[in-house]
Amino acid sequence: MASETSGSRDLTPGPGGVFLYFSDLLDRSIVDSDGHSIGKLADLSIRLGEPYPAIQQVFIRPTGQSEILLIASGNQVRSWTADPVVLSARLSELRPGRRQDETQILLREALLDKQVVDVSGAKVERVNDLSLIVLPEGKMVLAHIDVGTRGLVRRMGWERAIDATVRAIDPKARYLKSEQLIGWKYVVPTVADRAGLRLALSQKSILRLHPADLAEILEDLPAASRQPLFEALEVSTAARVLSEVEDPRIQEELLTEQSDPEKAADVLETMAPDAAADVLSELPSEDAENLLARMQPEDARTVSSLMGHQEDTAGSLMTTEVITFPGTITVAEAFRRLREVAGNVEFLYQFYVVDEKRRLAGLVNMRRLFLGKDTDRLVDVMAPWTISVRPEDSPSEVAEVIEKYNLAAVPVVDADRVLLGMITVDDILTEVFPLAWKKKLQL
Amino acid sequence: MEEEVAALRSGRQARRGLRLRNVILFLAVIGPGIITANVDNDAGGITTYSLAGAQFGSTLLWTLVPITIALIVVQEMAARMGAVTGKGLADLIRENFGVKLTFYLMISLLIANYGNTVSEFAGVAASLELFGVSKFISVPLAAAAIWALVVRGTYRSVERIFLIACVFYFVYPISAFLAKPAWHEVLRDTIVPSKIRFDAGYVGMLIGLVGTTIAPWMQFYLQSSVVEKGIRKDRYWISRWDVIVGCVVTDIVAFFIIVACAVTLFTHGVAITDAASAARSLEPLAGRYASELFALGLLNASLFAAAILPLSTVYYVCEAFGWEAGVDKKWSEAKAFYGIYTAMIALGAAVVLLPRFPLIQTMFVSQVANGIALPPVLIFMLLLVNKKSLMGDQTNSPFFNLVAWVTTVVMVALTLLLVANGFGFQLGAHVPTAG
Repeated sequence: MASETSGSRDLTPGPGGVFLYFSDLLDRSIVDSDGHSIGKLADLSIRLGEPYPAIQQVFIRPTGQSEILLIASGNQVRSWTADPVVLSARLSELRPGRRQDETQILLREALLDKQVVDVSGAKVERVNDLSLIVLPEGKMVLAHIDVGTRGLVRRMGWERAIDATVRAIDPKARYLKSEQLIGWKYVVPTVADRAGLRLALSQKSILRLHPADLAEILEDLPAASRQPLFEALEVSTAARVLSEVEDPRIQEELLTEQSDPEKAADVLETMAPDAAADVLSELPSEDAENLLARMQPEDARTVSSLMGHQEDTAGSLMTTEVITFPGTITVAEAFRRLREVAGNVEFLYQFYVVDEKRRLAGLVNMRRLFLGKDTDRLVDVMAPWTISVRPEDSPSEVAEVIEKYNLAAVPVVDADRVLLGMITVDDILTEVFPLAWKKKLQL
Repeated sequence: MEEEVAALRSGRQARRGLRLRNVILFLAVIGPGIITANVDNDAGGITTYSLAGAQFGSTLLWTLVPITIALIVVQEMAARMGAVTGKGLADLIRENFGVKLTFYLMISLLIANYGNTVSEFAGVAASLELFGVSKFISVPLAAAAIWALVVRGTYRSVERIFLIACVFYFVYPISAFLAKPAWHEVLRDTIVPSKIRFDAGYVGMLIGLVGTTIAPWMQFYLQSSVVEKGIRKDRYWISRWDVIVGCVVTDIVAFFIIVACAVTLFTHGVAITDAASAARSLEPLAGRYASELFALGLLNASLFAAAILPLSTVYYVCEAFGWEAGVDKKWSEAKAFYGIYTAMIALGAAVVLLPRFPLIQTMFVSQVANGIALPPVLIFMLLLVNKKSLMGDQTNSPFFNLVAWVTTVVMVALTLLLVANGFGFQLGAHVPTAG
């Protein structure tokens, strides 16, 4: 690869710079300012946390050696694009050594061929190549990672042959223009060790992803990289992510391997009780009891009562987080009480009116509440309500009821019509949709 | 209300009991090591062991001891790498050896595993032909069923049936005992190597035996399963036992298949030319139902492996190249995944449908191809497992390195010997030796 004379390749006109591929630079010969050949380029390092990080150090493998033994700093390079690469320093001015500074990562060792999180596409990708830009003032920065087929082909050393073949068949083939480059600022490395990921998470961009996307990324990541990412999340985000993770084994792993069990318990408290019960009932009973013991007694009680319901019944699907009011209070009072609980309740669009024995009497949705007068009592604005399911009903029966009456949620009652909980439409959707077999070949 | 609470409580206890049982089952019965071992005895495995017994009597039994040791060592390395690094083998190879080596390795594994897939469909054809079902019906149906099972995501629910059906292998020990072999001779041949030869027939059979027992794809499959099961360093000792039990069981089954075939076929000078003749090894047990019993066992083994093998292959190829993989992805998202998977199944089944396709021979040759593809995989594994930066203090002990390197060197030597012999081993032909 070092045989190309210029080595540089124009992709798209950069900001006055020249594009270079890391794979073209690797193993290129290096000469010092006196023109003496000193070895080959073995690796480059950057600092994490910058959108266009400049190359900090050049790691050199002296001729005839198999290890990195010399380090030049990035500004000791006179010309990146020349072959061989020309330094502005003499051999004697270079620093011997092989370890990098802790705050830097090596491109070949820690990035090339490794998996990274692509924040812009919310996906886990494998790095086939890296694209670098030499700025007009001579500094070189890391610009993109290449995750495309072209990158793979280039690494195989077949780019010219394949390009020529494709061009011969179809000069307008999409392949010829399809560079799959992802800007470095959207990339979170997961590699090297956990410290590498922690450092990368300081960029925070990944933490702004939607919890459902984060959950998918977690499932796609290699097991060793999951925990540091999960632990970097705030409790409330972690709770939403955990309920979105589909694979029960990964849920278990994330909870039980938390370095701080108190945080694991906090996450469970923050989750909707039905989701928390789902997760806990998948754990080995010892782990589940441990976590329950660390939770607030009240939350723990709610969750463990939900865990008692048979799997695949309405009882196991329902949440006990239901707003109920007596029929005697006024609309104004209802508004006041709603405001109090609004922060802690997931489903706020309707509530049930119950009698003193908690038997279901009626339903009040937002429209009825807004249209009511402040002094109206709830019994006057509520819709008398009888549509409900029983805890032992199957998910498909629940789905039928919700579909038939076009409900956002259906109450769950016992034989005496005492309200036990409710099932929301999104909980039933995940249950009855044909569940695709999980991501990986699981055993 | 009180009643309800009581009901809730008892329901909860019932579920906890059930869960506990699940956990025990999970750990004790269907650990990754044991599943891998069972899939190891696939159509190619049964055929190779049968041929070994029919052609060489008990004289090849001695190989099972070193093969078992090597199998345990190699599988344990894969499981340990999975537990320590949390990554699959293809992943580690790509990350540590770059694109080029990974590409050539993946291509050779794709070819070897395609061969194995063909042999699984040959197993389906051979077994159902014993029931008089034409392969033109059985093979397309089996291919379509497996494809749908996996792509529609219902494979997991069927896996248990496959596993339970593996009790079929118990018929071989029973049949072997009923045939009353000369046990002192069997034991002697197991412990003391005798009548070692260097002709293509013998060497080809040796490679086939090692290749079918220590198949390259198993290492990828096992390591990924360990990772997927979330086994980490601290719980790893369970996995080690899982691997050891699985390996020993595999080779005990192999031992009895060889013995059963040695007594029933070799001593009577019967060559295995088709599945019906291989089935005669079960006559001491099943009498005239031997061929039905054999057919069911072979069918189960073939379907089980045909469901797992192409899928695990396409998973690790995609893992190595960073392509989207998984049956929960859409076709447009994971074209490479579905494309390779479908091609492996469709082409694997299509080849078997060629007129006069040699079923038994194919099942055997695919195992020889496994043996030839094994050394590069072992070398990669050894380099990785001894890397301090990956494995920390969990690198190989000198004994493990010795066993694994000896296995590698022996396989390379055997392959060279086979090449020197011009691949001239006679497939399925009875080689009259001591008989």
